[in-house]
Amino acid sequence: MPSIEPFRFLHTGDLHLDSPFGGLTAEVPADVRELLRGSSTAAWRNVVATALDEQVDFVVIAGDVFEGRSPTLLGQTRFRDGLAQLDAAGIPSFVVHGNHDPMDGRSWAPSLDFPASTTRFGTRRAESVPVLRDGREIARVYGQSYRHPAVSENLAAGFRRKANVPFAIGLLHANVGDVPGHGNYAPCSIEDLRASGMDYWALGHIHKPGRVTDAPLAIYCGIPQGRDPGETGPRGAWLVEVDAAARPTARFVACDVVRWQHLAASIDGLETDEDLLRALREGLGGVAAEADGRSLVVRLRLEGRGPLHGSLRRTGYLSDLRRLLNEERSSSPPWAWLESVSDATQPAVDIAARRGAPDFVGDFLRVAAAARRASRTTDPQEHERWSAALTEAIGPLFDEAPRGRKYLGAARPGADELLGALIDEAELLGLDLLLAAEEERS
Amino acid sequence: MRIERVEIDGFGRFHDARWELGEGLTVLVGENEAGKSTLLNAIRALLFGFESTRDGRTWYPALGGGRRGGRLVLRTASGERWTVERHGDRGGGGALVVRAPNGNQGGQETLDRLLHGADRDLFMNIFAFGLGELQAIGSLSGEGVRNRIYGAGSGLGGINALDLERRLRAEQEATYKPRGRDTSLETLNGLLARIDELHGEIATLEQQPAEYEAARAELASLAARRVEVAAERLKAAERGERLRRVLVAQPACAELERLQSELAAGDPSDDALPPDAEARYDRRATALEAASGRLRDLDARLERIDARLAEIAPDDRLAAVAAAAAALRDERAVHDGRATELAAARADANRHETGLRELARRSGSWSANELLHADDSIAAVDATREHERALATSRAAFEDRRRRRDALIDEAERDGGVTEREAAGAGLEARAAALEALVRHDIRVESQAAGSVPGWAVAGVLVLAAIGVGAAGVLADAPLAGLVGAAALGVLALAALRLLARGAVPVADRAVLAERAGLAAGATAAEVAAARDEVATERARAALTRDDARRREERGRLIERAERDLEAATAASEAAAAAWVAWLAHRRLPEQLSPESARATLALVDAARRSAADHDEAQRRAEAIAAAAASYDERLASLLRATGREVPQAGPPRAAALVQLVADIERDATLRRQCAELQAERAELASAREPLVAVRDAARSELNALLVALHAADEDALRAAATRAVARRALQAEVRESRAGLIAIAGGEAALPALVAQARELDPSAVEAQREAAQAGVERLDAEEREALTRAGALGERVKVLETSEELGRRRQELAELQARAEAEAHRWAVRAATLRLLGETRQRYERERQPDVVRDAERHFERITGGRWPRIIAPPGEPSVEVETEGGEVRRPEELSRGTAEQLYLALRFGLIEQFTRLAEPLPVVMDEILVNFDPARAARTAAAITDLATRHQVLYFTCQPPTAELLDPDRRHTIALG
Repeated sequence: MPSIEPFRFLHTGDLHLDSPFGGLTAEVPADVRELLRGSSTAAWRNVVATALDEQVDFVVIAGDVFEGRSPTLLGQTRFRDGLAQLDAAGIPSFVVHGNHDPMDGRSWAPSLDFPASTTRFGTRRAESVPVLRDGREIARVYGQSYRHPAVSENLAAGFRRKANVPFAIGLLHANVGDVPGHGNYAPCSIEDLRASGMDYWALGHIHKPGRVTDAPLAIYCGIPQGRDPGETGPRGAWLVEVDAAARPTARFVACDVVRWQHLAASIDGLETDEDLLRALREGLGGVAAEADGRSLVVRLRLEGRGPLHGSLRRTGYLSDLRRLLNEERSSSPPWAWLESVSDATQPAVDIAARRGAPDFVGDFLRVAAAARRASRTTDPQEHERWSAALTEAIGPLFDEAPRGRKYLGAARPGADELLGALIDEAELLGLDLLLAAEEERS
Repeated sequence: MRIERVEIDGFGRFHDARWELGEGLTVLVGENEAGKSTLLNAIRALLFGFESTRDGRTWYPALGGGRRGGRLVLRTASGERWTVERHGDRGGGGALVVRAPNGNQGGQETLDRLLHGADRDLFMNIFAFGLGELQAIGSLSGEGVRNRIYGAGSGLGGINALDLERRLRAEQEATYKPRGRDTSLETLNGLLARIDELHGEIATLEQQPAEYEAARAELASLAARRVEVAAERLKAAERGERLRRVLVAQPACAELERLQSELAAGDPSDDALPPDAEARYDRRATALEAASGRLRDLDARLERIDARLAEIAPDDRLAAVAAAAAALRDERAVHDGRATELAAARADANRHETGLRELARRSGSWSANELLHADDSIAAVDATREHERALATSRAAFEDRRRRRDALIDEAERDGGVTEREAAGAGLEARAAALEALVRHDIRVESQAAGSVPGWAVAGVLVLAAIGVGAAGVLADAPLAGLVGAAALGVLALAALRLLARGAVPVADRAVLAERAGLAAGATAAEVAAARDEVATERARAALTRDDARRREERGRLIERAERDLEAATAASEAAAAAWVAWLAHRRLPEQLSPESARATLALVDAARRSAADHDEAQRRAEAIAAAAASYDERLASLLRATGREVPQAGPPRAAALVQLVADIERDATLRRQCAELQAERAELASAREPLVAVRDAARSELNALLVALHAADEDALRAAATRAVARRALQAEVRESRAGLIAIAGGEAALPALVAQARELDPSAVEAQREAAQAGVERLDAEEREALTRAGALGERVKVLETSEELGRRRQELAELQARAEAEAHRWAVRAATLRLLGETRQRYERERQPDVVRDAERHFERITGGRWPRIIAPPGEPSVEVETEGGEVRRPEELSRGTAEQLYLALRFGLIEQFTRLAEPLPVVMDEILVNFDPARAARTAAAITDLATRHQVLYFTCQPPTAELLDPDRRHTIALG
């Protein structure tokens, strides 16, 4: 194998600069909001700082620099400023555009001046740009941008390594192997990646950082800053070292400033509010200790079955619990902020037994079970009746109110959910209310 | 539970009233105004509080007096007795005290428990009602009552399904109300409204990139336009400047032309006159004037000197005596001192004469003359010394003889008393001997008495010791030493034995010895010792007395001889004195004088001689001084005469004349000096005059020569020419200046001709108009430039703002948050909606499948009261009212029934509710007020039977003013209480 000049580069992408921090279901304190809102740009600054600290030879950015069609000018300015910092340090940068920021002339302010050392790949075909060190080519970057948001062509198939290239890097925003839950843009297969002859694939699109294949080494850079409850754990960029034998090794470097954290806590065996608070404090302390100095947005889910279930179901209890724990939050980062507390605990009753009882509670549970059982195929009439009844029940908000129609479409329970999850939750809520009333009377 | 007793402290017309109430039915009968309604309302008020309105019907102030309120004594089914006491002046709960059987006190909560949750509504509508409530359909449709119908049904387990639904619905509405306008972000209405707003705001903010691009484009075009404007402005400014120069040059050109023509009109020859001609003339004229002036000054001075010399006339006589007068003036001080000196000399002479006379007086006997001629030779003085020695020697000898004789006599007199002591010392020696013997005796006796060991014993010991020592020495192989020691001890022993033999004196001898010694027989040793010392002293004194006697004999002889010597000395002394007296007489000196005094008198002779000489000397000096003074006066007189002056008498007048003379001489000398100086000065001036005349003449010639050189006839002509020349030169300077100004305006000499030509040719007003147009163009372009700059600045700022604007990001963040919250809320809302639907379905099913017990019970009562006419009541699920069905299946709503039948329906429903309540809780008392008035007799009788039947399970209080009704209910009047 011919020997090449060793070098290193930073692989990032999916920056989604200055895009909102989603999934916050409760009112956010000002300082928390400030940190969250600036987290995407702060993470980008960390990426740039990593490149500078590690003295990389160049930086590749695998698309989705911005969130949408109309990125904020601030985000663009910050992006440009970061590239300018790299430029000032003699680090060239290579950018492709993805589905969120296609080169359709609308996503980017055309008059924003990028540094001379920044290469933005075009959309028509895979282009290649050599990376030079003292006039000698050390690597070549191949890339192609999206022309419009929904690119359905297999762009990777158009990447072909040229002869005499010391090290070839494919820079692309793509869905390799149709990863579910993500837009299947620029779809391609691992075989396509292999066929291209690239030595390294710098991929973007999937926000969870990870390796697609080792031969050739193909990596999703992941989003440098998780922005919604689905994007948990450390996020950052990849530092790729290429040795004289042209073997790339990638190391993940966390660049995020705040992390989403799901925390499940069981009420099994807990008797009092104090027990619960103690358990939750322990849980929060545990996740904070493992957060690598980052602040945490914690989504807490209470599970299990026990006497505390009744308390949890009391109006305002969960929000009080959340407020109480958040009052103990550190005033400056890193902190752990409890974003929400959801209750998935079960009452301490034998539901099956109650369902058989000849009383109102039994009636209620039987009605709920009947609604759930009303299958479209076996009992279309009953199914239709329940569907209609529940549709009518949620109608005032989701169907009749213009704003509800307009803005709550995503939250509107679907046909399956109506007679499934919604009934489950309603049954639990109704049961809680009835049991509480029973308790109150007795 | 029943009311055992009602006690009213004050309520309406009642005051301090008591009613004991039995179990079952009690009929309270009374006429109108007997207080039936008051009592009914009092029971209600005591249980649930006072009416809060003063409508007059239910207010019931304590008109009869007493504290408004009272108490109910309640007895429960289990036999416990509770007291509910309530007082209050106003509406509402008032002061409530609930007393438990155990004496504990409680309040509203206790009462609520006691009444099993029956609230005011329930009680007033179901348990305590009058005709009014019976007739009102609404009184049964109230929430509390309706909930009882469904909530109290069997199988509900105490659950109030409607209440749950209501609560859920309230929660629903708190979260979201269709068409609600709540803006709080706690509600979905508020969240959705804000989301709507945010979409609008974001849509606006999303125009920012377009605005940014437009701003950048405008900035670029502004920059390009500014380059153009700058070029245009430069051109316009240049043109304006050119025109401005023409405008400025026009008057300057005219002025230059005027000056040039004026210059041409003048005489060019005036230019020949040097610019300094006048100055030069002035300098020479000044020189001439200076020379003439100096000459004039000199002549004037000569004239003044001559005049002065004429005034001065010296006196030669004064000059002749000047030296003599000066000498006299110099001697003047000496002359003035002569009077003093003369007086001093004369005083000296007198003093010396007086001294001489004093010396003569001191000499005692001599006159001055005798004194001056006395013999004070050395021989005379020596003679006095001789006499003096002789006198002294004879006198001393006499004194010595006398003293020696007196001393001897004194000594003899002192020794005279000692002789008598000699006899007293005759027996002294005998006493001394006796004392010595006595002392010896005492010593002996004492030594015998002192030893405790007898003498023989001592001797014996010593002998034995001698033997021992000898034996020891033999035994110890030292035989010689032993023998020597033994021998020595033996000797000692023998001596001791001798002593013993000698000491034996008889004690009786001591008394004799003491007597001899002049002491008592038993005199002590101390007395013996004292006597011994005394005798010793006496013996010494006796020895001395013997020596004195011998010396007295000797002294008698010496005294005799001394007397003889004294006599001889006296004679010699007297001879010496006689010789001295003779010497004194010879010299006529007093005879009492001592030789020393005589020598002092002789010493006066020399002093007298010196005084006489001094006197003569002073006398001579006085005469010389007087002569010198007379000479001085004479010389002065002659001087005065020589200078023709009067001679005043000698003394101060003449001295003053000398002073005057000396002053005149000095003044005359001064005049003479002045005269000499003036003459010298005059000669000097006279010698200087000639050169001055020459200088003046030369200056005059030069002045004239200058005029000739300057072609001027005289000074005036010269000055006129000079004035003209100055004016011409000024004009020429103006021409130059004007031209230089024009060159400056033109911006260079090269541009001058063109400028001058334009200035001459062009019409000033046309030029001004063109210039103004050019200026206006410049200003317009400047304004455009400023505007462009301002606009560019604003755009630049805006670009910066847009580049760093967080607004869009913030709005999107807010939208994301609110969207998430809205969705979460919407989900909760949907869950509640589904729950409500499930609960509603459950309730309907429950109502459909099992008609509530209430309705079934009511149905039974209704059928009984109506005699089977109305056998069925339907309570539609969720409906606030009921329907009835006839035997024939005919369905009527209550409002379609007759008044009496409707009242019977409601009464039946109440009975059903009362029974329903009783199934769940302890039966409460039922209070009815005149409800049978609209019932026909048959139905009234059936109703009365139903009431009586009810009274088997409940306490029933029935109020009526109709005795027949009372009779109907309580035929034997055992349970009837009459009110009023």
